[in-house]
Amino acid sequence: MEPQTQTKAKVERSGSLAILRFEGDVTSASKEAVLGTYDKLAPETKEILLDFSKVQYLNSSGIALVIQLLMEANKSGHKVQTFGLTPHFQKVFTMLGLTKYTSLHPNELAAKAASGG
Amino acid sequence: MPCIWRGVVVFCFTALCAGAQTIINTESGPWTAALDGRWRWHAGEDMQWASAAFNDAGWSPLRVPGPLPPNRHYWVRLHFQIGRTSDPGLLLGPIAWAYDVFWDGERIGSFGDPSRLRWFVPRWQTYHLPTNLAMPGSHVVAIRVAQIGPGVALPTRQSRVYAGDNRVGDLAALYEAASARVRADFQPRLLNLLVDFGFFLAGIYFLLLPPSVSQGAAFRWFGIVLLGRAIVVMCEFYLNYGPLNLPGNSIVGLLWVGVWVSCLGTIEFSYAFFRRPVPFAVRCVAWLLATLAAPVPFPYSAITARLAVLLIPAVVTIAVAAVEVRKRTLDAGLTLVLFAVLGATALYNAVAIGIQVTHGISAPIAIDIGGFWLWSWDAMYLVWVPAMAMQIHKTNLRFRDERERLRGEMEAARQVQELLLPSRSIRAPGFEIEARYHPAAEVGGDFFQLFPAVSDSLLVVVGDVSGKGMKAGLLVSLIVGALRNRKSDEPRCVLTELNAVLLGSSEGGFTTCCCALFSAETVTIANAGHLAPYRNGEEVATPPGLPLGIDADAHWIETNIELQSRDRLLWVSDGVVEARNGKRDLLGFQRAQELATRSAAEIAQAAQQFGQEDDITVVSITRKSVQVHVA
Repeated sequence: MEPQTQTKAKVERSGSLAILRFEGDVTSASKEAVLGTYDKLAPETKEILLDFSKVQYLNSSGIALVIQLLMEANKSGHKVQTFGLTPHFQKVFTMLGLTKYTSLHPNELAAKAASGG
Repeated sequence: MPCIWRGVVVFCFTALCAGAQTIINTESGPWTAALDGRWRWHAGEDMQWASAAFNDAGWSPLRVPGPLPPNRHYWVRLHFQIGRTSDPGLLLGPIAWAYDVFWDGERIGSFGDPSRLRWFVPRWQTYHLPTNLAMPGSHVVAIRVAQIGPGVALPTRQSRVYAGDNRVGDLAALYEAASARVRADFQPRLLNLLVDFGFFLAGIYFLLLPPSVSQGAAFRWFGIVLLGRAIVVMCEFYLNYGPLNLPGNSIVGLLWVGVWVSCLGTIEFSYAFFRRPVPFAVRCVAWLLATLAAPVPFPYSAITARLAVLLIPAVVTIAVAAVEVRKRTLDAGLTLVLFAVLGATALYNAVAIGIQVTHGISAPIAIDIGGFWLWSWDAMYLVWVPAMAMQIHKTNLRFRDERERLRGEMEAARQVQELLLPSRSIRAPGFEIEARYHPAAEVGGDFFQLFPAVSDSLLVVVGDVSGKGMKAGLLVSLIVGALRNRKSDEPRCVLTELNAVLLGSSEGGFTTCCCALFSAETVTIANAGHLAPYRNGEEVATPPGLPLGIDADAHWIETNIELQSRDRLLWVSDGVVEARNGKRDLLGFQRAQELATRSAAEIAQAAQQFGQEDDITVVSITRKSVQVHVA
């Protein structure tokens, strides 16, 4: 089994928009990177962009974390756009019905446009 | 060896105005004579004092052997007479950390250079004398001494004037005399060297213990402590016997790094041993003092900080042990004794340094064992290292037993799961069924169930609990139990029932599940986020659906497809499409579809060979005829 790369998360803010940029594999070890980063978002955040363009792999536990983030965001009224997913994981996200909580976009520009940014 | 100088010359010199004059007796062959007796000394700095003509009658007498003056800077002078030598030289013992030596006013050598802060641990040095300077007759040796002052309580040589250490004579004989002195100085330290090499090896052993070892953090800290000790010993040997390339103050800086590593490591070890985190304040103070005691040139401007660096582990170690014993968290006895020894040793060494710094008195920090010295730290580690090794052995045994027990429990869980999941030779009238299940760990999070249902139908449930291992396996048991007690065979109702069961049990995870009810000519499918099945190698379009265990209000749309005789429906789990090879490439949907016409065994094998990372499940259902007969 190949070693998994540690997940890094970075937040970029622009007004009420926050871009969560993830890097590395998203796995069960990514709780702090995914949910911790989300929890630390400023209260004035309204729109969230999830950037997976530097993520090569999400396993089921990692996807579970993303689902939790989406559910939390949904409860809090945050509008979430997702971009940068590989075609494989776009299909996985679609199959899992996550498009109910987030729209999938090919790139940041499209995601920003969809969020009204 | 050529005869250089024979005969006996006896010089009896009565001092007229210069006070006592050393008398040198020489014998046949290469000779040396001790410059013991009455030297004279005077505090201060004046280069005129190097001159042979200078009258030192008013200087204080300095008896050799005897104690050295307490001053940082002073001169010593000695008048004496020598006979003839063919290759004259002067041997000076470990008199100072730096000095310049003058022979009849001519500078013939130096040891260290205080003006450039080049200090060396005092040692025996031999100086060659030009023959024209060492003619038979009266001579004066003047030494401009610079001492670093008190404060070096490490097992390094102290400045001293021992009997016979300082000599004049033939160079070859002086070298021999110096070697004999160094050998005599080195021999008592052999035991120390041997013991510390053993500690160094033990340190490496403790440091490289696998992470699985119980109390591994404590052992690794102990290894660091021992390696710190090894640095100290290595530096001490370099200071005492190494080449004079690096000044002693640089080496002492590294030596203190070893002391800090040992001391700070001892604090970390004390807490790790009792599985307690080091309090923030304790760590801050310790590191602050360590920083204050950073390598500074001689003299020891930060000696108090260094003293504290020794005192802190002493106090902390004793305090931690006392607290733990009071809490009765240990089977006290031996552990308390060990920590008391550790704390007492640290305390004693700290006090020894304190006395050295404040009173200039060297407290003994070594034990004499038949002419060999054993330092108090080493004596303490001789108790600790075997005790730690025994502790490791005990914990390894306990860990092995625990691992065996867990392995047994996992094997039992795997056997239970095997009973819960259908066997490979599943039979259902009217269907050819082939299934392969390869969990990534002993127990898996994938599951599938086949239930012959009413009206010659067959209910197939395939799913995957996120994560793997025991937790996922237990959820699978819950799911299988719920499926066996289901109230309906309708796929969307089955999913709704399972969702209700899993909502409070998933703990942030989810379960994908695809339900298919095979009836006369159709198959009704409801999919909760699972990979869609393949019909004759083509992916069946099922509407996206949320996985189970996330949303109480989730619902799933059913899809109906026709299934003719010899048609085949195939399910694979994400362990197939997300198998990863050495280049971290996924097997992917494209390759999975290409494999979808092969047998379940071939597909599972292909995924395993590609690189299994998750549970692999492949279920293939082929309709033999339109009619289903349930036995």
